[in-house]
Formats: sequence, structure tokens, C-alpha cells
Amino acid sequence: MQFRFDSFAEFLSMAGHGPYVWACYFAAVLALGYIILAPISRRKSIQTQLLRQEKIAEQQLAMQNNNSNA
Amino acid sequence: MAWQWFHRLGSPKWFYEKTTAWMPWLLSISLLIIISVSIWALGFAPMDAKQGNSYRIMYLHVPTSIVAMAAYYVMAIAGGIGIIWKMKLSNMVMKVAAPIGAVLTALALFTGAVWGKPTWGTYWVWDARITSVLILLFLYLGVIALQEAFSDQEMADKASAILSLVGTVNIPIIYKSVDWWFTLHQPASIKMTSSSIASEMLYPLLAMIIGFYLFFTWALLSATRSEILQREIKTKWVKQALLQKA
Repeated sequence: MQFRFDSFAEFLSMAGHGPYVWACYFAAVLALGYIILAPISRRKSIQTQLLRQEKIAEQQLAMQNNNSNA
Repeated sequence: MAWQWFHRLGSPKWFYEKTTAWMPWLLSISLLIIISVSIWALGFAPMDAKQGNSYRIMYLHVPTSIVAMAAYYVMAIAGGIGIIWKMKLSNMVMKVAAPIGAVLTALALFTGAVWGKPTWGTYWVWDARITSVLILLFLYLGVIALQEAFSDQEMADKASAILSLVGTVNIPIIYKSVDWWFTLHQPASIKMTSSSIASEMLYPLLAMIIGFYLFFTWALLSATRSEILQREIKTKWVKQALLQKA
């Protein structure tokens, strides 16, 4: 297996096809990146949502306790 | 006893716990394959005699298109199982397959269009293959829209499943379009029996297809796991799983 281009500049230009080839690979990075990050960020937002709910529930419980003590 | 696995598969908790250990492995192996084969495809695979270097787009275009259609099978079959057996997990898989499939289909269309410019002299033609893949994208967007349109999850799942099942009629059309209407898009180069592509070019392509399938498996599992957390948020085990990590 050998590198098919004589220089790095030729590798980038790909005999004129460079912009087409690199645009596709760049688009793939964006698409796969989105697919990777979407479920991870969703999990995070579910987590914060749950934490907020738990906090509200705790506060309500504390308030009820205060009321019954008074 | 024989059906035990089927009932277990319907349990989101069992599925979530079972897949936890696989996730980092699946992602790292698939990315390792995709990145190393990309380097192989971009710099080391031989140049095509007719198309020059633009053919290097094939290493993205073909695997993306194959997996974009595989996502549709998953979505339609999961939707069908959800309707027939009312399996919770199945409906979740159907829902999360749609955005993944939509992104992959969009990428397949984009790489195809950009490849078309230096090869055919145009970004877009209303060729049968290209048009039927555009319909595939609209079917995915339709399922995403239906999921958003209903406030009741059960209704949303039922409607999405029906659209997915009806839309399967498009799948054989996509496959056969290059043979039925031989216009611009070329027929398949790889077949089970014979391939019209040099092995030096074929091996990286096959490796890339494997890499994309593994990546899709990770993406589907990962999105399903997030969906499980959302839908089962009221259960004790989800609360524990989420609060432990926080």
C-alpha cells in the first residue's frame, strides 16, 4: 500500500476534485457528530429535568412539614 | 420458556441494563474503523481511471446509502411489532430510528449530489434512484413530524407505525430503480455473486460498510436508551440510574 499523492498540496487539491471530495467528508463529520451528540445531550437534559423535579418535591415536602409543625 | 427472551426484550429496564456495557465498545470500534478507512480511501486507494479522485466520495456515499435504508427496515419492523404486540420498547426503537435515518439519508443525497457535479456535470437530476431516495427522506421527516404532532404518545406511535409500514413500498422501488429506469444513476457495483470493482478499491469499501453498520447500531441503541429514560422517568430504577451519575 502506498500513498497516491506526491505532496500534501496535491493531496488537498486531488487534481481538481479536492473541493468535492473534502466537502463530502466534512459533511460526514458534521452528520456523524450530530448523531453522536444528540442522545448524549438529550440524556443530560432529562437528568436536569429530573433533578429540578426532585428539588421541587423536596421543597414542597419541607413546606408541608413546616405547616404541620406550626 | 421459549418465549422468555421475547418478553425480556419488551422490558426497557432489562434492555437498558444489558446494553450499558456494549456502548463504549461499539462507538470506539466503529469510529476507529470509519476514521482509518477514510484515511485509506482518501490517500491510499488507487485513483479511478475514468472518474479520477472524485470516486473517493463513493467510500462515504455507498455505506451511508446502505445504512440509511437499513434504518428504514428497523423503523418499519419495529413499528409493526409495536402495533401487533403493543411492545413498549419496539415503539421507542421506531421513534428514534427516524431522525438517525433522516440524517443518514440527507448525507447520502448530499454526497451523491456533490459527486454528481464532477461526474455527470450536474448536482441534481430527477433520476428514479435519486427521487426515490428523496421520498425516503420525506418519509423519515413524516415520522418525526407525526411524533411531534400528538400529545398522546400512544397515538403518536400508532400513527408513525402506520406511515412507516405504508412507506415500505418505497424500499423495493429504491432497490430496483436503477434497473427499471436506467437513466443516470449507475446500477450496484457490488453483488453477492460478482463485483465489477477492483479488489484494491473493494476492500476499503466493504470495511467502511461494516464500520457504518456498527456505528448505526451504536446510534440506535444510544438513542433508544435516552428514549427509555424519558418515557420511564417516573420509575424508581430510572431515577436511580440518572441521579447516581449526577
